[in-house]
Amino acid sequence: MTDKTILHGLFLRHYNEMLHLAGTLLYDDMEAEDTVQDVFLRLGQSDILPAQDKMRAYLLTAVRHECINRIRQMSFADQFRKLYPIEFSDDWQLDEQRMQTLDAIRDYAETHLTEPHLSIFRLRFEQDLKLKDIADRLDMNIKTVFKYLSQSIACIQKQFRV
Amino acid sequence: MKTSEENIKRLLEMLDNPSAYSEQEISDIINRDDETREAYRLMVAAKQGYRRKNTSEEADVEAAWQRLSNRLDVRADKPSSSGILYKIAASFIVVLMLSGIALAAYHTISSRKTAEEIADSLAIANEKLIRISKDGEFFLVTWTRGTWVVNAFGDSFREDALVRHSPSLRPNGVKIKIDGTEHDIHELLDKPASIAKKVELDMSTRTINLVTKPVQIPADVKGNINPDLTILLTGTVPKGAYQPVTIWKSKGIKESYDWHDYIYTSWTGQWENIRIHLKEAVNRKDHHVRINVCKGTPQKHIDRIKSIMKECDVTNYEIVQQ
Repeated sequence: MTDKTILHGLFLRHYNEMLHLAGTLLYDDMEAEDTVQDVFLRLGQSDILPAQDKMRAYLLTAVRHECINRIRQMSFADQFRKLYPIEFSDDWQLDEQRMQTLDAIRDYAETHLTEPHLSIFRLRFEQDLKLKDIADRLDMNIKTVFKYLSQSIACIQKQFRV
Repeated sequence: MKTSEENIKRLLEMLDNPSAYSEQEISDIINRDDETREAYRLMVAAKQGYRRKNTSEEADVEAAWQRLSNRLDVRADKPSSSGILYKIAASFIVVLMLSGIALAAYHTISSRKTAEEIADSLAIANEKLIRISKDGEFFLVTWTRGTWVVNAFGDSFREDALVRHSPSLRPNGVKIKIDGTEHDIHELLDKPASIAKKVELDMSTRTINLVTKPVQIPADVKGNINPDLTILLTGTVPKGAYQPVTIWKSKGIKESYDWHDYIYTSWTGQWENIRIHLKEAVNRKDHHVRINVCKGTPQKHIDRIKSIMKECDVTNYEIVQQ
């Protein structure tokens, strides 16, 4: 068992970053907290800690894999409905690089999409609304919402390969 | 361009009404071509990108630590250490022997064996089926050696650990069923862990069904005991791995994080150092570790695993070239 004082120190140092990663991957604050806590629980039960210089990498990798595990435990339909990745390639190792790509895609959308494309894009991917709800909120025909959002995705797709 | 937008529209339509499509239809659309696959990935990245921006980077760490501390306590409180119980049981026997009670026939080995058996029985008897943290936010489900465990990954085996705990669960997030009937966990606090004869874990529906009636473990499952003790050295990254691993547990139950140290137990969702399993194994009288070595595995990997065996005092192991 890892000493609770040591665990507390690690928790204070790494919790925020781990929670942020889990929140990004799971889209759910409560699930994210559970995930990070599970990683620490296992660390608490372990007799052997990773070396100090590998600790951050170990903890972040453990969080990422715990997230992948949670996603994999869902049915395929649920993974798709919640817009989770349905494949996990080796790209997932390059977390920091991937995080930069996520930021770049979001920033590109924010700076290059014009209205009403940007509002629709935000409502779909930031607010997680269904297209019908977006159409209601913006008082638009749903076919128009489909058209604008498809155009936005195709436009960003030309700039990024993810 | 038009085709691309049409595929995206189809994807969007499916995302809005996934229940109208079969899994095969969804998979067919996503994998129709590279462009559609890319479009799906981009939508995932867009959602993750916004989540990344909106997920707070400054949570209340001390409050979170308190919640974790409660969860740590629920595990630490329980009297499950067979080591301690072994010592209690062993002392008990010593006292009996000193008292001259009819134990004269016991020789050292058999008395030690009996102490172990008593310790095991005590450890099992002390385990409750359900344990709740002080703040009531988390609970554990516990089962014991010999229980038939089936999970959603298709793994089916006889539990070999003396006592096994589930990951911590939230009461409002998981359904607990006893013989198919859902129960409030508070109704089950007095039940011993040993009532579970079969554990059916389905985390996709977040349901754990505990079968308490006697079960007949199929012959082909009985052989699946001790799944921790077969290690596969792959030498290269196995197909489908999402990490570069070269230690791979048979049947896909375990995957390693780092070829020489960490393994991942998908059915428990636990990250562990491989040494933990080996040290557990070496405590068992009948321990035996099998290391399957795939063709092409570099000698340095074999040497490395041998050094870990030595470090963990595992003497009874075999290396099998595949």
